[in-house]
Amino acid sequence: MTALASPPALNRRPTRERAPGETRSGIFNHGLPVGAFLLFTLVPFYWMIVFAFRQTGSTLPLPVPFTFDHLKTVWTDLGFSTYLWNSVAVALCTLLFTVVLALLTGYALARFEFRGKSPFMVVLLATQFVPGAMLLIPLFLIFKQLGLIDNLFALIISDTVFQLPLCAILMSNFLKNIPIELEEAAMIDGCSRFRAFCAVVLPLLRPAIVAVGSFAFIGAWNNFLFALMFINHNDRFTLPIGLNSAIGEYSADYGALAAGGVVAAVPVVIVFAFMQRFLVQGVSAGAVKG
Amino acid sequence: MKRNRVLKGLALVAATSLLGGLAACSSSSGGDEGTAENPVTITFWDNNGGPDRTPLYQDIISKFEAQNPAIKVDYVGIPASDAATKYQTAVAGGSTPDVGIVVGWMASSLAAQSALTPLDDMLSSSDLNGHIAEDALTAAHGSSFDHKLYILPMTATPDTIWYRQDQFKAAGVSPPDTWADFYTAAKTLTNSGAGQYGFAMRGGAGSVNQLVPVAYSCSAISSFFDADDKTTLSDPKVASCLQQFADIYNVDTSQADVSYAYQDMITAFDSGKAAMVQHNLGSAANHVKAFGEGVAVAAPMPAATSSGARTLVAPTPEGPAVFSGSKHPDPAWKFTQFLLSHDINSQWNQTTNQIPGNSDSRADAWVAGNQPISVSIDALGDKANTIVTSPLYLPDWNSILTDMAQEWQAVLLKQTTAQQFASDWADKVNTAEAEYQTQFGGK
Amino acid sequence: MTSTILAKTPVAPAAAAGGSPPRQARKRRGRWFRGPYGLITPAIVLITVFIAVPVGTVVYFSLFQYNLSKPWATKFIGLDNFHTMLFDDPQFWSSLGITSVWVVAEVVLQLVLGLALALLLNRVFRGRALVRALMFAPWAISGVLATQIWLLIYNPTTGIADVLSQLGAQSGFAPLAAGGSAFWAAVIAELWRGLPFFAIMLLADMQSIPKDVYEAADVDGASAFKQFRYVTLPYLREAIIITTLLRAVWEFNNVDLLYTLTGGGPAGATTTLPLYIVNEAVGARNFGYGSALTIAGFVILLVFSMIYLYFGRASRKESK
Repeated sequence: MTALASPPALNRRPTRERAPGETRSGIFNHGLPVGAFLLFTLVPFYWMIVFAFRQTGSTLPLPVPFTFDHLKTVWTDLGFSTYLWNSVAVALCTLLFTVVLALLTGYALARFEFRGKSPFMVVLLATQFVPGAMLLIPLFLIFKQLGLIDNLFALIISDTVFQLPLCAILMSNFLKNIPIELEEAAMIDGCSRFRAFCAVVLPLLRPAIVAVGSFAFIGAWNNFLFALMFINHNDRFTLPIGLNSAIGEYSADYGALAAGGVVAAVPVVIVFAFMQRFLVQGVSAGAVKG
Repeated sequence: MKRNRVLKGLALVAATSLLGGLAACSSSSGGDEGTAENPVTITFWDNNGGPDRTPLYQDIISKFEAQNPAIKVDYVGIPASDAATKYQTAVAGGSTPDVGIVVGWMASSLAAQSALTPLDDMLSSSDLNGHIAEDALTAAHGSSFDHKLYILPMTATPDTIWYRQDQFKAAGVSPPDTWADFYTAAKTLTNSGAGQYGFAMRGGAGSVNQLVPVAYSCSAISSFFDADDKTTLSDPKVASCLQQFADIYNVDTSQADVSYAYQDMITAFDSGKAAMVQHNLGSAANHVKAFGEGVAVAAPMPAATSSGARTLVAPTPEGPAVFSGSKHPDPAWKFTQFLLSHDINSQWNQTTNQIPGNSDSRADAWVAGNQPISVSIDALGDKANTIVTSPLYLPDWNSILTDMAQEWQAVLLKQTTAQQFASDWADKVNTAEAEYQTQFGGK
Repeated sequence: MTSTILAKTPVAPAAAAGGSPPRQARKRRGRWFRGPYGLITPAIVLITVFIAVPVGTVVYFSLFQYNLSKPWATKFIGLDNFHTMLFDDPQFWSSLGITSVWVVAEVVLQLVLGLALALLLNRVFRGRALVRALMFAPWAISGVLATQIWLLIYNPTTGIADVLSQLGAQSGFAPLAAGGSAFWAAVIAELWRGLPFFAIMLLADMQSIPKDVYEAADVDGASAFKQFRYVTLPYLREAIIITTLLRAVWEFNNVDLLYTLTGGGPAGATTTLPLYIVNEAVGARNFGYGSALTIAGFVILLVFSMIYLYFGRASRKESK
């Protein structure tokens, strides 16, 4: 549908100076709706922060009297420092594997016609229809065979597998928008296909890599079901199961729960505050171009 | 480009350190009996891992390891809400722990899958023989499909009514000794305009488990099955008791109670917004934390009539089981016995505020000084009271309770009647019981 | 930053060419990379082992009476599970109905509000970068955490009702307590988490609309609404079709938020098909029947997606 001559990533900047038809910004057609959306987005976070930093017993709608006690409790007593590190490790490894595999698969889909290509695409799409919850027990048996129960690699593998199909499609769509002539020019200059890819295409893929990486990272960071079933030891918990286990049958400590939520939320929220610009770009170029 | 390199570098660091970390964790398996130099490691699953229990078990384990240098115990804390699923998955995948804490309602289905080791013979030749309280042992036997002993009961705790003594005194209402007292108090102490309610009801997850004691203490029916092996749940008295109970929802309870799971119910009570709550003794620490000592008081489930004789449902046992997949059954059994030994059982129950399974522990001074525990022990031991045993031995029992939870919410929301609910519940129990008898009849 | 990429591009091949290996060696090495099968092999292996094999296992289980807690009763029963499901299980049909409402409500709300949000964020205003960063935050939040946060808000002792009562109004606001309000309470919580996804996808596509189209429209004196209707919307058509499909599938299968927030209650009012599956397979350990339900869900999604894409494509051809 977009008959653009140049690859989409090349012809626009993330923040356009002038956007015709979009310039009329008054407080009513702009400030109010933005404010409403912001309120809807931020009030729940605020609620969590209030509980996380407010002393037990206070009922003020502010984090007053202010305390770090809940945070200390979850960080040291409940082991959230370990959970955070495990989550970071799992999410980063998943990100790495998913990006590499999405590049390989996406490249094959974008640059080659081969027998079995459309069935392969159908399979990639069909994986999205499988509810992960039902695969728990079969997957558990497979990881048991591989000796990976209670091992973070079980999470990295399963997260990568479930992220890969969509990420590969996104990557191939992005690649299709990069003219093959660029590579061919480099190959005529004597580069191997691989070198041509690395030198010419890879730099252009940066937004796509950020997008795919973000999807993989978030997916792995948030995965609850697999982590719950495949990991037993506390020192290998990730944040979602850590959070879940903080709700013991005999404790109803909302302060600690909220503080755990803060630990789980802050890193991703900060990372994505910086990433979202690239994310929009990457998705823009990849996700929707047939 | 630069950013990518940084990211990739990070991921690589993560990957390599992971590999390193995991290599160090490979399980050591040696001979069955370890030595101090080369100890054998057994895995222990806590079914209720969290800030309350985890430090307790870790302390107990360090004591055990000091006494048994040839055995190392590897502690795994599992959140209570996931414990049943986690055990089931482990059994299906053949990767069970050596020892795990099992609650009565999980025991039967695990034992039926041959996942647990029968402990009868081992107990009879153990030092513990004769030191486990009779009611706890009965409860443990009653929780298995073949009435063998699969769990050593660290505790067996009945449901109680917790009530706010201060509010009761201030309002001049009598404690909930009978169901009539209970309903009077619930009505008197409700002031919905001020957000104050007489009772906090569990309408969400786990609700039906708590209806069993309600049904039998109120109807005073003395056994769960009749002579024809049909459940007495279909008795009209049960239906009217449950209807009466359901009718105070959103009248003497808040509207939110329909979705209350454990945590919400206890929070409602401990925040002072409800004067009574039905739960076992395990929440005692929360109440003390909220109000101080002696404000929230425990009473046994109310009596049906003013005669004072109560019909109580046998407590649900909870304790360690030795899994049949264990490669180190002897160290596993040693640890299991340790958990039931006098000092340790006292420590565990004093910390968790529950009734000790070890009979010597029950004679400890702290038990007599603990109002909720001593009142519960007295009620269970009172010859005037009748004890009804719920069919924990049915492998289906727990899934029936879970299944019925939605319909109970429908009763609370007046979409159906307690009559219909009780009859559906009874049908399920009868089907399960018939199936059970066909399979294991005569055992 | 795009301009720097542009500037670099022509330089790179020349630099790389200097170090290229001899022709012969390159050809051999090149062949492996040139082979698409080599490139997709890792993906195929992973998908086969960790998705296809488990799915095969589920298909196999669905032909059995298989309850984990009653191993002695396991037996092959052919298609009986499917027969029970279709003709003898009202809960299957009611959960399917609830799933449809859930998916439609989520997709429509997320689409409409996501489109509005994307339009707003596509404009130039002071602090846009910050606003955008804040707005996208819920997307990075896990289902468990989202549940924790919204439970605090919905819980009468810690949430909105508590704030109201401090202000002197006894609202008795307990949205999770009644069937209808519990459903919409869950819809709002999920909307909070799902909105950024739509906004990102649509904003991304809006930014790829060539500027000159708007300029032309401006010259023609088209109103803002007309520009939206006749320029923006047609450009977004394909993005909308694909994003709604992805979201619909995702919301269909979404379990964690509903499971932790309402548990399917009260009285079954929020029990979607996947939640029913989880309750059946994980809760009641009825694995055979749970497997049959899973296959039903899978087939429904597959057929739905095919029809949706077929009509999406047909309408696109028409419009061209």
